[in-house]
Amino acid sequence: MDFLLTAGATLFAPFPMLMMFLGVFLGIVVGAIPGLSATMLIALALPMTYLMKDTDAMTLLVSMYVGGISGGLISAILINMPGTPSSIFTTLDGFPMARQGKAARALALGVLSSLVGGVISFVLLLAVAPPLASIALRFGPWEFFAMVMMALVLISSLGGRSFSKGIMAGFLGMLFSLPGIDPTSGNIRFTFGISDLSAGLSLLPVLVGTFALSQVIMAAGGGIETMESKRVGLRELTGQLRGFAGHKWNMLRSSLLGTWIGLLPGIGGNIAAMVAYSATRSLSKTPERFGQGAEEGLVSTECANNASIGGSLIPLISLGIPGSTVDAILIGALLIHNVQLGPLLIVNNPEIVFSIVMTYGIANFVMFAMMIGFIPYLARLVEIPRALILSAVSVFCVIGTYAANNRILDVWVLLFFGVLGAVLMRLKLPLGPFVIGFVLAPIAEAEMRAGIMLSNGEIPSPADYPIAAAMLAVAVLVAVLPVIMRLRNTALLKRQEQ
Amino acid sequence: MDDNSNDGLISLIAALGAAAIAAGFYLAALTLPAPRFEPMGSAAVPKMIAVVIFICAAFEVVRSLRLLMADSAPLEALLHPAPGTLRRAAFVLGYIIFFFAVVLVLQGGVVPFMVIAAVLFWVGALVIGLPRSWPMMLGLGFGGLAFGTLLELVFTRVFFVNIPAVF
Repeated sequence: MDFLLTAGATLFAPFPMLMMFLGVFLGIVVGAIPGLSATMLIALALPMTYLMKDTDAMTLLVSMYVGGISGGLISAILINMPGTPSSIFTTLDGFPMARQGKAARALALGVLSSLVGGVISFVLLLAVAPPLASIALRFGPWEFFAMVMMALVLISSLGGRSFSKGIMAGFLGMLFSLPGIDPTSGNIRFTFGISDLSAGLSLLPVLVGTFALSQVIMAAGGGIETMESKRVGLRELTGQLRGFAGHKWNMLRSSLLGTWIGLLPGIGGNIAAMVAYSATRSLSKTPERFGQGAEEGLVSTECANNASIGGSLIPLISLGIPGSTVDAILIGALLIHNVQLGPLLIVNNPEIVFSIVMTYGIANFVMFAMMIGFIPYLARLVEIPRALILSAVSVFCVIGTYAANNRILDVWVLLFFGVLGAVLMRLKLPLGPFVIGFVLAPIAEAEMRAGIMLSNGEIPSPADYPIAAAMLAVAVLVAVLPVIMRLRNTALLKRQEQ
Repeated sequence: MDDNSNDGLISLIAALGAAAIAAGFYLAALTLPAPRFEPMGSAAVPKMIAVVIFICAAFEVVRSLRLLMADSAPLEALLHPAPGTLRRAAFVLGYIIFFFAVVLVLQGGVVPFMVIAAVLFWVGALVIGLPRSWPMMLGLGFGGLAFGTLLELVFTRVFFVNIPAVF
């Protein structure tokens, strides 16, 4: 509790507050522009955090995360184009409301629901993360190895459309993390004759290349779309900030669902929004109104997608495991600042943990105030040509990666991973598992080798490590179940044909 | 051509590409020294990862070949691509080559960053899709130069980054 109060007090200092306002504002701006994502913004902001204190860096990045997820509702409601994947389900009822002349009501409802979802998730984050970390403190190498593998398999299986493609992407990411000095034996491996690679690939150019430059490359030759947004006045918007009592149970249920789904590795805000939307619709007395401009639908999706952020921060804080792609970048930011991840984070660096938690809580209120105050202006942002923004992004990619270490090799790595990211996207190999594999591979390898050394070169019996065995069993089950189901369906179809 | 069959061709290329990368790492792992101080050695984990990729790739190859045998239209489309597709691919390839040249120039350490940034911004905006009219190109040029100058000033004077600069 003391740390929480200290973290809260530290956040109210001028520089952290400036970072929070800047982070939320940039997040909302990027979230509002279709085609740009919070992931891209946070990857691009990473180089800037080098010069900051670790807590200030996390304040900036977490604020961007909150702003980025929330900003997506503006374009979803006004032009039927989700600014972020998390806002896909907001278009279902948000845009019909705007077409019915209720754009201000839809925006006000969406912003308030985002705030409620964020606050409920903040409370749960506060309640769940520290006890979970204290349980994880009893884990040894095998438990950590099993946890990483389970997270990777879950992320790969639930994140994309094809399980084997997700696994391939995740394990490819693991392979690309290997070049450099093997920390256990000291051997130099996979440098392919490039001596500069012996220090390994820096995380920053890999993240910026995969998430930002790849988008620019993919957009080349894509043409330009012009969009026209509806105009909403400030007075009109604030006038709609009332009459929400009828949605209170929906808000609570959707926020709890969003937090729970966010906690599961690899499931983002879009799935959280979908599940909450489906639950609200199935509980509604008038399900036929959903998709036609039902306020309940809009409330449930916006509560759930914002609540999923808090949920995904729980495994990051307590176990050092990313709950989402953005969390993998947050882990990257912590690694850049030489912070030890895992359950010991809360013991060794409580100031960082509580700074993340408090930032998440307060950033939701900042987001609410900014969205309400700036929506009349932010609505025009969706009309900025994407080509202009992406070309500026390409310049930021170059200077940002170079500036981090004053090393030209990092810019080459940026280009390599930019092209690789574009190729992966074209081949429908998901980027999330790829990056998470890249981040988690060193942990998995180190823990596995430590475990083997502890058991004198033998693979231990599952009975000696029941928690690790259970986690690996979940991973195997998740991997094997879809294959069994597919074989069963094929056999059933054949039987029916006969 | 339905989505599934198109997915078949893409999955086939993805699987073969992933398997090729995994094979490269597997072969490189064979050249690593045997373990001396610990049981596993540096090559064990890369080999395990490569084997998992091979298994997934094999699964994807079988699945995609079955899809392609059911509908070979995507293969026809690959052999006779539409002019729009070729144009887009040329733009993407051209942009990658241009970016490669930009990094080479940056590595040379002679051209000031503001010029590199201006050119990168200008070419990027036009390649992605802004209309190529004279006023637009001029506006983008001046805008890019202002943007590059600002970035150069911030990164050399505030962050003390060692890049070739005018100011």
